[in-house]
Order: sequence, then C-alpha cells, then structure tokens
Amino acid sequence: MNTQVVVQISRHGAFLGTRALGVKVRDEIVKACMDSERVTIDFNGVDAVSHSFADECIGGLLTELGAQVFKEMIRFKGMSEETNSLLRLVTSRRIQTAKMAQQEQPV
Amino acid sequence: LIPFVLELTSSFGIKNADRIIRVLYPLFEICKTDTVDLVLDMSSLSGFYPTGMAAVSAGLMHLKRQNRLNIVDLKQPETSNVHDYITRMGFYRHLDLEVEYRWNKRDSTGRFVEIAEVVDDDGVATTSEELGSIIEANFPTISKRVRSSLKIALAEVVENVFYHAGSPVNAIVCAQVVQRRREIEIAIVDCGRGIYSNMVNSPIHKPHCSNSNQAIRLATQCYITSTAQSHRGMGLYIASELTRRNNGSLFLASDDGILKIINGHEIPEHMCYNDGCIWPGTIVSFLFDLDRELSTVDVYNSMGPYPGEDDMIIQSEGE
Repeated sequence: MNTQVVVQISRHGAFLGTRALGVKVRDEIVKACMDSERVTIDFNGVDAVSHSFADECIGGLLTELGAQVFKEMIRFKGMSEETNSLLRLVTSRRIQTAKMAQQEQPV
Repeated sequence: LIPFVLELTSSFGIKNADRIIRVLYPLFEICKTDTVDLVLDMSSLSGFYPTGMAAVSAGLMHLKRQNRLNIVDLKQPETSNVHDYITRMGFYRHLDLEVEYRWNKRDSTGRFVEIAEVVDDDGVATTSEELGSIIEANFPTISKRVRSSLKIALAEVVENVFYHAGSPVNAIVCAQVVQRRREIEIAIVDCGRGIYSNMVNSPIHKPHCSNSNQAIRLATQCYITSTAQSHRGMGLYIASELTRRNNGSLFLASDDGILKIINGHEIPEHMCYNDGCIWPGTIVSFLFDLDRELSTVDVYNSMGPYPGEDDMIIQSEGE
C-alpha cells in the first residue's frame, strides 16, 4: 500500500461542471483511497468547479467514506478561493443533512 | 396540413422575452392537434438576441421532431447585418434551413456562442469553455473569477435541464457579448416538463406550489429541489443570486409562470402576467454587466458553511 497518492483532477478538464463527471472523479478518488493511506486531491490547473460537480464528487466522497475517515485520509491542494468556499459548503451541507436524517430515524 | 405564418417583427431578446412566448403560443396550440406548413417570416426583424433565437429555435425544433411542423418557406431579414448575424449564430442551420454559411466557425474574435443543442457532459464543458473564450477574447481585462462565475451559472442551469426537464430538444444554448455595453446575454431553453410539473411531484413542495409562478419562485430558493436529496437543487438559486448581486437581469419562464429580475431587482409577480400564454418547457436567460462584481464566492459564503459542521473537513496539504 502506498503512503500517499495524488489525484490530479485537472486531467478531466479545466472546468468541472456536471454531476456525471463528479461521480466519475469520485470513483477514481475512492479507488485511490483503497490503495493508499492518504489521498491528496490536486486542483492545480482547474479554473472553475460547479456546485453540482463539487457536491457529487467531494460531498459524495464524504458520504461514502464518513467524516472521520475523510478527515484522516483526504487532503487538498491547489484550490482557488472559490473552490475552497464551495468545498466547505458542500461538505458542511452533507454533514448537516446526515445529522438531520439521523434525527428523523424512528427510535 | 394547416398553413401558418410566423411573423417575427422588430426585435426579440431578454428585455422583451415574454413577447417571444406570446408570438409562438398560437403555433404551439395549433400543433397540439394539427400539422402545420409554416412560413417563417423574418423580413421585418431588426434584432434577434440569444433569448429570442434560442427560444424560437427550441420551439420550432420541438415541433419538427414531433412531426407537427414543416417549414415550407423562409423570408429572410431584409436588414443584411441581421441576416448575417443570424446565419453566423447557426440559427438556420439548426432548423435545417438552407442558407449559405460563409464564416469560420472557430473565429476567436467572435462575440457569441453559436446556438447549440447540449446533449451531454461534454457539451456542457465545450459550451462553457466557449463562453469563457469569447469573454476573454472581447474583454481581456475581465478577471478569471468573473469568467468562472459565468461558466458556472451556465453549467448549473444546463445541468438542471438534464436532470429535471426530460426535454426532447435537450438544452438549446446560445450567448452573445455586447462589447459596447460590456454585457453578456446567455440563454438556455428547453421544451421539457417545466418547473411546476417537477415541483408538484415532490410531497414536500406540492403544498406550496399551486401554480407555475409559485413553483418558479420556489425553485430559485436555496436547497429547493424536486428530488429527495436536499443537498441538490442549487442551479437556479446560484444563477439567480449571481444575477441579483451583479445588478443583472434574469428572465425565467416555465409553463405560464414568469420571473423577472431587472437590474438586480425582482419584478412583482402580478406584473409578470403574460396573457395566459404558455411556454412548453423552461426558458432561462441572463444579462450580466461585466463591469460589476460577479463572484460565486459571495454566493457560497451566503449559503454556509453551517456553523460547527465544517470543522477541518477540508484540509489543505500540510495541515
């Protein structure tokens, strides 16, 4: 197992705009997580990221891995201010909706 | 076969977009039951901007694909620069009308994104990049942040069409910069289910949606989606919020509902009445002022993150 893997997502384009692409990139990151102790998601070369892409890719990754594993394994690199704000937004929303769903579970 | 003359006179753009619906509505009504032999009369057309062009193109293409429409005659605009511009935008080609095309499609000095039917992810990426390129070519000093925000607004709305509209003409997109006024008009049109139909399918939203006007206004709110996943549904919100913060304009029509934002201010619902005319799908168009701030960061920061929910989730390398 590798200590660290870097996923260079600019190879999917300088503009990452759709949910379908978000799923594809997320699958790639999940695969990298299986082969490594830590995964760095490198945004260098990415000009813009849509909310749809970010929610599906990074928000979905958080849901898939769980908050604890996500915090331990995933690091980010090369984010613009826009991307940073967006990723904080989508991840916090995912955590919030997960908490709401837990509270709505019948006891 | 019923003969029908569709007369497009004076100009059609975001500023009189409700007129486009009124002009096309009788044709849609006839085509519900009959097939039409259409004369497309554009002889008195003096201006055809992205909202008008995308809507007419989408509407006629939709009827053609339903085998409800044959365009039997075309009367071209008498004003040559209008005709040249429409040709160059790909309007005739899009409707399979034979008119000579003399320009280089990849001309980087172009001021517009030609009409395109965006059918998939690659189309979203290509159209967004094309939008970024024309802005860069015409306004080289415009910041990367503004370009990114425009691409994001376009992609979010087109994505909505893919997921919610079920549109037989997918998403018809075109855009044009107006260098003199430093503006850009972007139009995204579909002939799908419409916003109201989607919203009433949601048990959460159905009680708040008794008509298209309510549905449209609900759809432009934060985290409102017709799907069961509450982290979705941001496309129209982000796009409309960018428009407001830019003091720009938005025209959003779906079925018989209309939402208008002009120079950043929403027009009251009772002033958006369109004589009962219906658009069979959704029209979204924007006019952004490229001299004003346009930043998704401000929109994202206004939506969250939620206190206590984002502690160290997004960690940069080395932290």
